[in-house]
Amino acid sequence: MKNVFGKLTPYNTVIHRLDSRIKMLALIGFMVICFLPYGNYANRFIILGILFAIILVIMAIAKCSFLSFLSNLKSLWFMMIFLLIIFVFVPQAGDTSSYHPIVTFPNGYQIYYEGLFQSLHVFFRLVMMIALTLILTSTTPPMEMTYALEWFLTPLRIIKFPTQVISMTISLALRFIPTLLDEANKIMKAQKSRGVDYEKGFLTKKIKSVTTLIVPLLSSCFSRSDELSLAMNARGYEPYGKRSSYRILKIGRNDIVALIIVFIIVAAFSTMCYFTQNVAGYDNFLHLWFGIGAF
Amino acid sequence: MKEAIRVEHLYFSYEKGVETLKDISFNVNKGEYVALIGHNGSGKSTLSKLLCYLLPADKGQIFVDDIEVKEENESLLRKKIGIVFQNPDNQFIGSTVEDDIAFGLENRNIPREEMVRLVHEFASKVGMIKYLNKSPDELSGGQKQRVAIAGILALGLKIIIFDEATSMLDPEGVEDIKKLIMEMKKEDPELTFISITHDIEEAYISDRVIILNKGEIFLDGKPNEVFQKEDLLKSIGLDIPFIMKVKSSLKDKNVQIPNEINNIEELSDYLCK
Ligand SMILES: Nc1ncnc2c1ncn2[C@@H]1O[C@H](COP(=O)(O)OP(=O)(O)OP(=O)(O)O)[C@@H](O)[C@H]1O
Ligand SMILES: [Mg+2]
Repeated sequence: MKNVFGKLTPYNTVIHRLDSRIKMLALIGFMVICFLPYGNYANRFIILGILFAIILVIMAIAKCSFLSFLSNLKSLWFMMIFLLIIFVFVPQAGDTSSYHPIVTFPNGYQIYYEGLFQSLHVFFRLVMMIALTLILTSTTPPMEMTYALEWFLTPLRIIKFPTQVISMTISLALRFIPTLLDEANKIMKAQKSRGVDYEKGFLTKKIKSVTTLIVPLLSSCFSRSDELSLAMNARGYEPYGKRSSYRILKIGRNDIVALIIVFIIVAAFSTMCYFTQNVAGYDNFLHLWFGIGAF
Repeated sequence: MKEAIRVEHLYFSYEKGVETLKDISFNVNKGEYVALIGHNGSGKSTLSKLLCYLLPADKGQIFVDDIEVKEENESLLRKKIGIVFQNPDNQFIGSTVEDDIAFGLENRNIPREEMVRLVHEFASKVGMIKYLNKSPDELSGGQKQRVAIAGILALGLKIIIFDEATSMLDPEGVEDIKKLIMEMKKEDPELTFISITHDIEEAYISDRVIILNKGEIFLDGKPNEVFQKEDLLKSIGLDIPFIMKVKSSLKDKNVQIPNEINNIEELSDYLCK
């Protein structure tokens, strides 16, 4: 239950050592190029395929567990069905005259290759997003992500935005997630031993049994936060006071190299996007040059 | 000016009509090791929170190092007095051991190099140096208590309160922490230490015992005097230290034991003579 966000792996790879700000920037960059359009579907799949290969290489460098990647994907099957229904079986809006039908029903209703590809395309992007976030979360302690976030928010201090308070709140939330999950587990076990059944029963019964979990969990949450605020107060925490920082974020040589690599990759893919979208002849270059993939 | 804490006619209640603390008055001298004992719900934790201005008193006055405990002086007080609470889970603020020990130091705006030095020094003093980058859910209760203790000791305060802060440690761990406190007291004779405890034996070796009962001070004095009053203690259901029990049953059998003898080794030496 604890690896809701993908648990940090105990390795010390280059990716683990990178500055969390660089990693977050890279994540954003990669996500953007994931979502750029690259001409027709054949082009898109080839180019996204290249991107996926790059991501797999990064995963290998970061020693990401392929198993946890797959188990993350497992929960996606219902998403895939949902996408298929939306894109394939729901009639397409707009002009479909240039589409390629897979089957035509007697009543004139058609299912198109385009619909199938569209859903595959969205699915492929989702898979890559999961891979990307997995790389970030399995190589970066949550706390460092909050430091990075605080750093990115720093300019907002000019308009008196309480960045320190926000990042403290986030880091406390992250700190207490495992504790509360543990507690929920304990309460569930305790209630089970008193005869509450969390698995069986109809909706109304299920809601009832879930309240036996929620109520004690909430009350313990409140008493915890009460004590926590006392403890913070006792150790001299002042939300708006001047504090020094134990953690420092330092950019090293590796970070700069990584930043340049990410920049080159993002630039390359953006260029491909530009050419495939705007320059005549490139939009389905595969078809023109190699005679494959006319979609 | 030898007083670390002065409490005058202190009253406090959480709910109207139920007095949790009633007319509490006492002084603690600088450098004293005070054991605060009493039954569950007698108001020990409440009193300690009042001393640190984590709760405001209803009536009466408290002075900590001659600073009156009230809102205006709050940030001054934080630099004088600190407390380690009962539950180690709810006072673990940082995401790792080192972050947590550093938390109080960060609040004091201490430069980073100094912080790193202090974090390492106190982590090793409480035996947690190997766990610096562990998160709280990877630690046992006793280990979390050690971290909480390190977090307060690192602040270099004059007055430290332990509210059952070693309740989850094994006997060896308790001994280690006691030794650590004694070392710190040797370095700074003015370090005042208040230990809220259910351990009668620990109370017996302190400089001073204060017994709370139903929100009132029941007894206050040197352990030797306080624990002499066996019948009085029994009337509120408190036990007495083992050595006192042995002495009093020997006395019942008409064996006279001199008053200076107050630990087991001395007693056995005396009896074997
Ligand atoms: N937050 C609160 N709100 C209302 N009543 C409280 C609160 N905290 C404590 N009390 C009550 O105040 C009384 C004293 O509690 P306190 O925690 O000070 O006892 P204690 O001597 O520390 O006990 P223990 O040995 O169990 O730690 C108890 O009767 C308790 O019910
Ligand atoms: Mg208590």
